[in-house]
Amino acid sequence: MRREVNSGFLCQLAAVGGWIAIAWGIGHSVAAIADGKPAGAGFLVAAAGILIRGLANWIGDVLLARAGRGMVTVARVDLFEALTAAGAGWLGGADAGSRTSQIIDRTAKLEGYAARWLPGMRLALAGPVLVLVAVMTQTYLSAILLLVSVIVLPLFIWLTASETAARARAQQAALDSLSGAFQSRAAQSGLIRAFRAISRETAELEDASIQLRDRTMAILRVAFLSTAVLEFFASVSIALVAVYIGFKLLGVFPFATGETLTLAEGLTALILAPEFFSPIRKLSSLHHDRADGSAAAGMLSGWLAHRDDYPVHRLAAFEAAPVIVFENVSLAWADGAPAVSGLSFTAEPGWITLLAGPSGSGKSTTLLTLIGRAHLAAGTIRAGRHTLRPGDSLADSIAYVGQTPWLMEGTIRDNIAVALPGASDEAIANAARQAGILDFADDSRGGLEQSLARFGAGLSGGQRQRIALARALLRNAPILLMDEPTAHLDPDAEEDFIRKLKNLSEGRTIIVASHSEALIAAADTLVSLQPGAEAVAC
Amino acid sequence: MLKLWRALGRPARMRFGIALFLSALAGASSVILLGLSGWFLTAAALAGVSGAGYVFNHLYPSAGVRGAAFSRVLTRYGEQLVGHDATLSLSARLRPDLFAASAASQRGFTSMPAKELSTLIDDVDAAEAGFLRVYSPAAAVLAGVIVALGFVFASDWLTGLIALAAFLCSGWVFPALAVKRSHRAAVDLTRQAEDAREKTARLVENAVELDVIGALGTETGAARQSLEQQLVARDAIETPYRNLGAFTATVGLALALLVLWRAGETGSGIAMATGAALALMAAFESTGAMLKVFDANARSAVAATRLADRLAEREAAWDPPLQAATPLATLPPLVATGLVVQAAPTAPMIGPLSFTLRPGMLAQILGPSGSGKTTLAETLMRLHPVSPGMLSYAGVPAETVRIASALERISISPQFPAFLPGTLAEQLRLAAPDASDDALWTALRTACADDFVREKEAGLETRFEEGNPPFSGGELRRIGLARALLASPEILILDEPFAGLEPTLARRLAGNLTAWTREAPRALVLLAHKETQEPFEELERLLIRIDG
Repeated sequence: MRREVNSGFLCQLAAVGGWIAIAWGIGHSVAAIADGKPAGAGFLVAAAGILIRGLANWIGDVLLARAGRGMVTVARVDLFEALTAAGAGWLGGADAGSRTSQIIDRTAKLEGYAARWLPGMRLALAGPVLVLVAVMTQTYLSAILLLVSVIVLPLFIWLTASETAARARAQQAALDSLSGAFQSRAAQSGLIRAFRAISRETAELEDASIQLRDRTMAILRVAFLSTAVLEFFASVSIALVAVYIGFKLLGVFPFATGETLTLAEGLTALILAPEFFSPIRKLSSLHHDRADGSAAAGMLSGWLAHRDDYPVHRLAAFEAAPVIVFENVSLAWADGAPAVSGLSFTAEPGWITLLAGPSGSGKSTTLLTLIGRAHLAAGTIRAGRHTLRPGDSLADSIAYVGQTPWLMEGTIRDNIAVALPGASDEAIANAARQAGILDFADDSRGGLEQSLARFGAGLSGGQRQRIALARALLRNAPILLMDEPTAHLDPDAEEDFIRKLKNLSEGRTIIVASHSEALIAAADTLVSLQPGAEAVAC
Repeated sequence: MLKLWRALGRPARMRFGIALFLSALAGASSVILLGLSGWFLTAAALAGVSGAGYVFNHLYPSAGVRGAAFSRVLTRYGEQLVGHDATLSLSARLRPDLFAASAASQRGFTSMPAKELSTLIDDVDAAEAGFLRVYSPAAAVLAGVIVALGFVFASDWLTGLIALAAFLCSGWVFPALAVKRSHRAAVDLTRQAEDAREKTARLVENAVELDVIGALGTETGAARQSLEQQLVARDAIETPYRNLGAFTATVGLALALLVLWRAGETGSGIAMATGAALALMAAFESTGAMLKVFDANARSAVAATRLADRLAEREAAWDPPLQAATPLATLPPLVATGLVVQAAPTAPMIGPLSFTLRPGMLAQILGPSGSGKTTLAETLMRLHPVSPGMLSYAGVPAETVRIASALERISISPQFPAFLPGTLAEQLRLAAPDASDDALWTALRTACADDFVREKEAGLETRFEEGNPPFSGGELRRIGLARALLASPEILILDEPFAGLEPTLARRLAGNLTAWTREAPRALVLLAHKETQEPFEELERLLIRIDG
C-alpha cells in the first residue's frame, strides 16, 4: 500500500513534469510562429508533454484508488482477525449497531486519507518546488513573485482557518442536532399527529432551521475567507506575472530587473503560474479526508489495542448440570473500564436464574465470563467443583440463545444442525419437534427441508426463537445461557417461550439476562444488577 | 429538482439567481484571466520586437488582466456565500414542509420504518446539495467554455467548430452516458453493499452465539469477503469515470496545440491564437467537473422527485376539506355498522364488525397478535379511510369529520409508546402543551407512574435520549398512558395495558381507570389477546372479537 501511495505520488509529480514540458513547448512554438518560423521542436515537446501528463495522471489515479481500497481492506482484515482471535467479548463496550458501523463506515474513512490526503500533501510541497525551479530558469523575477505570494499564504490561511475550525465544530454539532430533530420527528410523525401537535412541531423545526441558517452564515463568511485568500494570491500572482512579462516584452517596464525576456520565456512562465498553485488549492479541499482519516485511525487503533491476548481454554463438557457460583465478582470491559462490581449469586441446576437490570448494567458481560470472553477483575467464579481461571471457557457445556438467533442460508435442518455438527437426523427431528418448529414448518411446506430466505426474512420473532430453542435442545448442553431472549416477541409468543423454557429447566442450569417483566415473574432466582452499583441477589 | 423547488413556493429565488450569475462570472473570469494574459504577452512581444512598444495601448489589456483576477476572487467568494445562504433557506422550508406533509397524510400512527426513514434523510441531503453540486458548478463550467470558444472562434473558425464539438462530446455527451451507465450498475452495487452490511451486522449481533458454537472464524471470513467484493465492484463502476476524466483533460490540451498549429499553417494572428490556446487549457481543466455535475444531478433528481411526491400529498386523502367538514360536539356514541378495516390498500380486510360504544362503557377488542387490533383502533381514530355508512360519531358520518376534530376527542396509549428526544415533561406536554406540573403529576398518578418518576433524581426533567430510554418497558407504557390521559379524550384506547404488570399494580391501575372514566362522559377501549381479569366495576362491558 505504501508502495502504491508512493508510486501514485510519483505519477502525479510526473504529470507536473508533463505540464512543464507543455509550457515550454507552447512558449517556444508560439515564439517561433511569431518569428514567422515553423513551430518545430517546441511543438513536439508540447505534444509529448500532453501525452505524459495524460498517462501519468491516469496511472496515478488508478494506483491511488488501489491504495485507498487496500488501506480499507487491511483495516477490516485487522478487525476481523482481532474478532476471531479475541472472541465476542472484544465487541463489548458499544452496542451492535455502533460496532457494525465502526467496522464498515469508520474503516471506509481511511480511503480518502490514503488515496487523496497523503499524496496530496506531498504534491502540495513537491509540485510547487518543481514548477518554481522551472519558472526560475525562464524569469527569476516571476519566480520570486510566486515565491513571495506562497510564503505569506500559509499565514493567512492559518489565521482564518484556526478560528474557523473551532466554530465549524460547534456548527457541526448544531447541524447534527437539527438533523436529529428532523429525523426523530419524521420517524414519529404518526405519534405527533395522534396528539394534534403537527403545527407546533413544524413551527419548532422551522425555528431551528432558521437559527441554524443564521449561525451557519456567520461562520461561512469567515470560513470562505480562507479559500478566498488562496484564490486571491493565485489569481493576483498570475495577473502580476502576466503584466510584468507583458510590460517587459513591450520594453515599457520602468525599472531595470537584470533580465531580458523573450516571448518563449515569458509565455512558459505564464503557463506555469497556475500549475504552481493548483496542488495547494487541491489540498485545501482535502482537509476533511485528513480529519476523518486520522480520527478513524485513532479510534480503530485504540480498539485493536484492547484485544485480549490470553488464549481461551475450552474446558471439557460437563456430564451433568453444574452449580454455578459467583462470589463477589467484578468484571471489566476490554478497555479496562469496570462493567460489574461485587456480583454474588448461585445458579442451581433445575432453576431459572434471572439477571435483571437496565441496559448497560453488565448482564451480557456476566454471561460472557462463562465463555472466557470477559475480564475477571476480582472475585471467584465456580462451575461445579471447578474454579474458572481467566480464559477458561465452558462453551462446550453451553447452549446460547440471544435476542434473535444466527440464521444462515439453507434449510431449517441446516440451521438447527449448526449447533452440533454431525448430529443424527433423528436428533435434529426430535429437537425440532420439542421446540415446536413443526407447528409452522409442517410437511405441506416441506418440513425441515424448506429453505429459509436470506437472513430468515419472513419468519416471525417467535418462529426464530423456536429455531434457537431447537439448537439448544440439539446441543443438549447442561448450561443454558440466554440474553434478552424475548426482546422481539409479542406477549403470546413470550408466554409460549417461557412455557417451553420451564420444560427445559429440568437437569439444566439456566441463566437468563433480561428485563422482561414476564420472564422476571417466571424466574426461580432473581439477581438485580444496577449500573455502577453493587448487585443485589434476592 | 425544479419541480420540488416550485412545490416549496420557490424559496430564496433572488439569491439562487444571484448565486448562479456570480458562479458564471467566476468561471468566465478564470478563463479570461489566462486567455487575455496569453494574448497580451504575445501581442506585447510582437509590438516590442517591431519597436512599437510605446505606441501599443497596454493600459486596457493589463487592466483587464488585473480586473479578471480580482473578479475571479470576489465572484467566487460571493457565489459561495450566496449559494449556501440560498441552500440553507431552501432547507429551512423543505424540512418542516416535508414533516408536516408526511405527518398529515400517513395512515395509522406506527413510526416510519428505519429503512424508509434513512432513504428520506438521504433524499433530503441529496436534494439540498443539488444547487451547490449541480447548478452552480455547471454555470461556471459553461460560462468558462463559452468564453474559451469565443477566443477560439476569434482566432480561427474551423478550430472553433472542432473545439465546440469536442466540448459537446467530452463535457456533455460522454459524461452523461457514463453517469447513466454507472447508475444502472450502482443499483447492483447498493444491493451488494446492503448485503455486506447486513452480514456484518448479523455477525456482530450474534457473535456470542457463534463464539459458543465455534463458528466465529468462518463467519468473520464470510463477512470480510463480502465487504471486499463490494469494494472491488465499486471500483469497477468508478473506472470509466477515471478514464473519462483523464481523456477530457488531454482533449483540452490537444485542442490548444491544434489552435497554435492552425495559426502557424494559416498565418492568422498568433496573439489571438495564443490567447485561445490558454483559454482552452483553462476551460477544459474545469470541464472534468461536469462528470461530478452529471453524477450529482442524477442523484439529486431522483431524490427531489421522491420528495416532491411526498409534498404533493399535504393532507390525508380521506380528510374532508375544512369548509365541507362537520364539526363534532361530542364523539360518543361511536357506532360501527359492518365496519371493514385495512392497514393498507393491499392489506387483508378485517371485519365486518358492528358495535356501539357509549360513555361509561369498557370495550375489549380481543384477538391474537397480527389480527388487526391496532388497525381497528387506528380506524376508530380516523387514521384510516372508511367507506360511507360504516362509522359514525354521535350520529355524524365519520367520513365528513376532519381527522383533527376526531383526534381531539380520542387518544391511545400504545403497548410500545414512542418518545421524542427531550424531557419527560416535554413528552407529556406533547398531548397538552399548556398543562401545569400539577396536571402532569395527576396524570402520572392515574397511570400508576408517579412512584418511579419520583424516584428519579431529575423527576419530570428526566431526559429521553435517542435509543436509550431512562425507564423500563412497562414504565414507558404507563408514561404513554399518562400522556394519553393528558389529552383528556372522550374515548381512551389502551393497548395491552396489563401485560407484565404484577397483580396488585394491575388492580390499582384498573381502579384508577374506572374512576377516571366515570369522572365525565368517557369510554375505555382495551386491545388485548385475552379478556381482562380486572373488575372495572360499574362499567358496561362490550366484547369485540377479531380473528387473524
